[in-house]
Amino acid sequence: MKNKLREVLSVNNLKKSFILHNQNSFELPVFYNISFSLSKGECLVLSGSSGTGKSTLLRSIYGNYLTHLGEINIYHNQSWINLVGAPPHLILDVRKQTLGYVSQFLRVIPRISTLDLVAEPLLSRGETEVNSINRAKDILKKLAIPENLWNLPPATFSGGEQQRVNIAITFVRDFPILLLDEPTASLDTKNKQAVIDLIKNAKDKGTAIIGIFHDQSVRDSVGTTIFNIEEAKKAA
Amino acid sequence: MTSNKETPLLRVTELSHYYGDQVGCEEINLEVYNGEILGIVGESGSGKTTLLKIISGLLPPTQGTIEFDKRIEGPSDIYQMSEPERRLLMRTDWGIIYQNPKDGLRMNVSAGANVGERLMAVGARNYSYIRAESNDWLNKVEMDLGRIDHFPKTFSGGMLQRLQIARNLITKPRLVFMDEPTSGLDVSVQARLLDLVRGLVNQLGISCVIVSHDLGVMRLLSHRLMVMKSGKVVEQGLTDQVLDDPQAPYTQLLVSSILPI
Repeated sequence: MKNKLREVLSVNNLKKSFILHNQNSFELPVFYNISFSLSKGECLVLSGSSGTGKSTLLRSIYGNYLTHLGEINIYHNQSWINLVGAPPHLILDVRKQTLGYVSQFLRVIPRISTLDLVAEPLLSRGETEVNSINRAKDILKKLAIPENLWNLPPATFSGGEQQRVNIAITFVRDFPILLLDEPTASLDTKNKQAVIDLIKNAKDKGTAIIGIFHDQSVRDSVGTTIFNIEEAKKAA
Repeated sequence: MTSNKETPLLRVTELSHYYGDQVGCEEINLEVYNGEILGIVGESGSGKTTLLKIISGLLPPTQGTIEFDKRIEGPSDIYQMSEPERRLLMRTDWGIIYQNPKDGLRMNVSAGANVGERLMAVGARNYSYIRAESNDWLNKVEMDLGRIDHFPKTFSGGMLQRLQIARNLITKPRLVFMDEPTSGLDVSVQARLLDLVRGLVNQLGISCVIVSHDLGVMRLLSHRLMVMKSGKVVEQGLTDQVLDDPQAPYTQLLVSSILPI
């Protein structure tokens, strides 16, 4: 079924372990021999019970965790590059243009208003101020963040609101590839649906997604492929 | 954005400095690209400030080269050029923000004169132009314009630090060195200053080298992080990677020692 031409990411024999130097250099293996590929418009769901390394895999692909063995090939700027061992400024460039990541927690500079936080990625990419602000407003509206909160920093927001601001900061841009770490974890049914709609919309436009969704309903409505880390480990 | 083949703005090769038998810093290699913020962290006495002094032209190293990509000539060793040439570079293309604002400001002249001085140093002579530019920059760093004619000695720590930033950025430098820019300030002022620095750096596309021992500041400001211990670089990489998945024993110890709030 896979069409090579539509492929945007391929992971080959990836290994990750943590070495804890302050605990007698104890080595904690997380996963090894992980291989899969991802195409445009596909949504790959990572499954496996807690602690099997789903988030670690996402973070490794994003370059947040360092990997030494294996390959993470990504289609960036009309060519394929391997992110394992890539220099920092290349990874930053990939994050700016190609690869978006929604983490479980919002981490931002204090004191900046929500609207500015969401508009900033567009501004720093060189879009006009009016355009950036309008698109930021648009996405906040879609995610049902009340308008009277837009000018406040998100530090005082509820968990669900912070989560949605976090989603807005990534979805305001059109990344070809998205990594989503439980984007609907603390949301009620109505807001969950808003996020599902955003994800579906992105998929229809050809965005390739790797996600962790514990919620079965979310999985069923957006997932196209399931990748089970535990089984991949056993098979290896 | 930077690509692999681009010439770095600053390139440091095999740099070592000794104070007699004491190691200041040893075998340092680093590159800073356009628009990039490089953070340097490490405990007291790890050689951060020595390194910053050397690469900002204040202290000739025992060995090694520091090349700056000049606008016309291209990469040039900063300690091979003549003194006037280096001085010119320091007041045009570089900015230095000191930990203690008193080192970077003239305390006996007005705030406006402090900000305008660098403009005059590069040839501006029209008083109203200098005054207007100074006003504009005092505005950008959120200073009360009513204070433009006051002496810095009447300013608070946070105001002095903002004045120092305005004074340095007015000539639109390409590379700014900062030594613990927020360490003497209380947290609310610190947050405001961080926000300011980040905004200005983004808008103007300036590159920065920031030395700090505050890992929180580094996470928010810097793109890349270098960790120093006993004069040597023990680890460097993407900031979030170094902080979330530290590889070197010292960095693991450092990151795990952060107190949660």
